[in-house]
Amino acid sequence: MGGGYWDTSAFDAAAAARKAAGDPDFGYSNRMRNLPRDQRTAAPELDVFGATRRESRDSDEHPASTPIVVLFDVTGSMGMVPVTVQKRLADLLGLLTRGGYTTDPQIMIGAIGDDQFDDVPLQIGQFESDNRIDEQLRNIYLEGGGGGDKREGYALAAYFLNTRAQTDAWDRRGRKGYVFFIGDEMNKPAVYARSVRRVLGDELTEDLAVEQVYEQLARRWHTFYVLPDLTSYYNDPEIENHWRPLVGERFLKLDDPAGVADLIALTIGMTEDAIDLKQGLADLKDAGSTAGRAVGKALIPFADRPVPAGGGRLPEDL
Amino acid sequence: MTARVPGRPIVVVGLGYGDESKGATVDYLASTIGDTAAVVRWSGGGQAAHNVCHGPRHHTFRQFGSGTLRGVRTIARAPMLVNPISLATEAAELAVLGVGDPFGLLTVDANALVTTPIHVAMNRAREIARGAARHGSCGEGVGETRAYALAVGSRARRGDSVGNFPVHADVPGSPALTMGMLRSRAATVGALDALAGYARPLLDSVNHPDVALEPVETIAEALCEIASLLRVVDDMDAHVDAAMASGTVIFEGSQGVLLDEWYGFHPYTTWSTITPRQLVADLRAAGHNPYVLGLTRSYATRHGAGPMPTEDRSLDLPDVHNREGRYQGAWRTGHLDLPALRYAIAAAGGVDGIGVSHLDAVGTRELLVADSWSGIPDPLPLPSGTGVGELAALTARASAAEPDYRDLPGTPDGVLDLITSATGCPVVLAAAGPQRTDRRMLCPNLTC
Repeated sequence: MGGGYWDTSAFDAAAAARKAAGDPDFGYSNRMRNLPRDQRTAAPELDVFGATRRESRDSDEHPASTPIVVLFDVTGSMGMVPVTVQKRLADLLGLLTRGGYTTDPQIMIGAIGDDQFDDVPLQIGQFESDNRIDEQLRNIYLEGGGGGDKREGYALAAYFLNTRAQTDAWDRRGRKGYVFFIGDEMNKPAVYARSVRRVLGDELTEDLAVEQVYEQLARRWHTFYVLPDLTSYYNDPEIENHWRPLVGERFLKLDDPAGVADLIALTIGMTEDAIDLKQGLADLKDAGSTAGRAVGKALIPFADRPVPAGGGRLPEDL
Repeated sequence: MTARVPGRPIVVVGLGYGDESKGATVDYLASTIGDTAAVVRWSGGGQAAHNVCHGPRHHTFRQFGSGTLRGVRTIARAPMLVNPISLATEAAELAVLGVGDPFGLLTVDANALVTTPIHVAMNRAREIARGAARHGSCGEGVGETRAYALAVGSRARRGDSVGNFPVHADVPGSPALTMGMLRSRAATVGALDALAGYARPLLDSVNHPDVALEPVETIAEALCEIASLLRVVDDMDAHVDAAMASGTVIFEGSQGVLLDEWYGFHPYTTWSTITPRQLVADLRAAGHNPYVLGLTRSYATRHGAGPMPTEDRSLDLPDVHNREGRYQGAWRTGHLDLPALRYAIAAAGGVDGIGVSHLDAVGTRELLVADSWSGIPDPLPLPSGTGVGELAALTARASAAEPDYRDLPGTPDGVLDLITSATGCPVVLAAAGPQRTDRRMLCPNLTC
């Protein structure tokens, strides 16, 4: 059996895998894969076990900080998308600052796995406003795990933010930050106390309801869920039906995973009223992005949302 | 039968004619045993087809170890044969499944023989020439790779034979290609030139598009580049020892013991040693105490030609991953064959525990079990394992077998009890479907 590979055309077809060999973006993951499974850990700056806080603070240089958290699913169902996201998120800071979409962005990246089955189910870096973001992206362990149950530990990350994230934006100015989940599956049925103890080290004794954790998250954060194509469940209605009640119109489907940073930047710019969709797409075109079409399509439902005040449209509940 | 202590290496071996869920079992073990450090492929070559299903992901592993989706690295140890071009194809498939830098997961023995497109063409030429009298070859050039290396080693001349392969031309004086030689382009081109010259008369005798060859330089370029992307090690024993010192190492067998070159039903066998006898002896000599896990389905299968005493053409047991192969022949199913199973265990040199898969078929069909052939529970004498001469009697006996049937127990637990009592070996693993989540360990980490 096997394939039927008897000439070198098969080798030519493997160009992408050949190019990936020795890619420094994969250095940390490769180091981990050379260890027995149970010795694999998150890089120190991304380790969540025993972590007490993640802070986004104002400074003289950045007096009006905007905290932005981007957490992407790195389980196997995501296929090659985590590698794409890992590469593209390095562009996010530049997109936000060049476009003037928000004040003093501080970005914290992280990776989500399966808290029931994976060796490293949660990695969350630090809020950064310089190229230390790139370093943390390279140090993410792309475990490629998952339990095969179409559910991952997103809500454990939400619990982490609820209990650890401290932002001057909220504390001093009452301004919400941004959380983007990039994934293709549903939440586990609950935030398991067992997982919280194992992964974070908190002495939690009872499971938490997923809805409650996201409600709490929404108080301080604009929460988005991005479902990119080329993953396993892009066309599965169950995923959207699960997330709609949790994040409402902030459920975004993205045809082109390479446009993930573009999408996040425009979403923030539109929420901050710095741009409208048309202007944002023009900015992308000027910057040479090839993902404009996909980003535009992803944002149509969000652009058409009822805007509470000042947006020229009355809220739905009036 | 002994309990497995943590960290003890595990040797996974098929007790049938292949397709005993070796891939799914290795994936499951690598997921369940926390300190899994590596999967070692040690037999066969690129013709393996080990299926792993987890959630939305499925891959048929050929040369990468079946722990790959769980991020467990692969060590390819001679006598496994390496086909670098199909390795590149497999790496590309794995990348799409979310395995980053698949080549970074591979360490290959410098002594491993290399299967090239020339070997594959020779394999196909021979099967085309055999016509209806096919041997059930996969058409992947594995036998040709072994046969050519043996012919080179014995300086065979035209008219000699190597195993059951007639030598159709004088064998060149230059050595057969190994992974270590791929470090040098000149050495690679030299070895390929010699091989292509040797293959020419055979390929010319078959006028068929499947046996056309590309220029040697084109082949050399591809092979050398692939070898440069992975780790090729000269001291494989030290490398495997280091892996075993760090955690549990799973040795993933290929095919099934009943296809072994010295214990199978010759000539319907493979050009490879499938029994783990030598591997286990090597590991013991190095101070390790391997746990041998033998695998069987709850019924019998065979892919391709050759004796299969309990074959039942009226059984409707389709297989999602196995279809009729162009060179390999038909997919065949039949009933659980206890004389064959006991023989396979003996041929394997004994097993510590058994894994039983496809228990979801139990109770859905009128499945039978053969306790004996013509009243004899153990009709197959164990050969000495040194030559093919005594295998003719074995093949004759298997071909003429008249199995004594009774109904297979109607529940999975009943089947597991039956296998335990018929073999004297504990069933330690049970599977009722293709997914990782369909499997269960009957004792934690095989430590019962």
